[in-house]
Amino acid sequence: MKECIINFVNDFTKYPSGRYNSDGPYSGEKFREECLVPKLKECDKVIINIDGIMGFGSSFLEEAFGGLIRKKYFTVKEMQSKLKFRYEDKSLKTYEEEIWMYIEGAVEDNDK
Amino acid sequence: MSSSISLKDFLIPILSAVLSAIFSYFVSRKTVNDRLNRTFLNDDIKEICRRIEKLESKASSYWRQEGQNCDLEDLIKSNFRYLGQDLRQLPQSQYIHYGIERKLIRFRMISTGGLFETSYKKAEPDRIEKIRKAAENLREAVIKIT
Repeated sequence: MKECIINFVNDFTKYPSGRYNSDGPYSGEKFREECLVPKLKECDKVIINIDGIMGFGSSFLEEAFGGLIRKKYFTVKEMQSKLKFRYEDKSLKTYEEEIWMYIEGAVEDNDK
Repeated sequence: MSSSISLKDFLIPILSAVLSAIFSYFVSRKTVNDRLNRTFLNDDIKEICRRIEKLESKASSYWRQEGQNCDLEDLIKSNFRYLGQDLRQLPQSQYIHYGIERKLIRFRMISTGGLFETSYKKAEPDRIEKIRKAAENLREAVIKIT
């Protein structure tokens, strides 16, 4: 079983910002396409460490994580078994909760 | 009738006086500590409520305007981060009991969701009322902790 870790701050940025690629270099779409999807395809389990982050916008989180289901990369069930979060700072738990709301509440696009 | 004082007669009053002094000391110390803790908690809650109000005002101002405002976006995101940290310092049982976490998430989702930080962002007057309600829900839950 292959386990991969994404250290959000080191592997992406401390200052995530924007929803789409056109909104800047550290958008939710960019994180999903260049970081999240490749790791999720490559590994059985992906652990995202979000310690050190300066805050997420909900638009970023929805695009990055809700987008995984909307764009039909994975199902909710697959995400539940593959994706885990890690943080020392307990106040980051609210971001994890929010991410799961986007994953479990996302509806697949019909046009892909 | 004997005039001599036995050791027992001498020791019992002293012992009871000492025990009573120790007991009074711990009771008064606990009372002072409780009062201090309550004062600190009340100060924390006042500070949290001020932060919620500030965030509500910044988020409302953001959604009143057309186009992006990067400074305001960064300020809103970092303030939500600090608010989360402050809320986490509250007594855990009450944090859970009053559903603070869900209320914070709701407030953040409505303030930084949709077209937040996108070039498509437009003024959304409807969202401002939702921000007001979400902020009020969170503030009311926090105040209950006092």
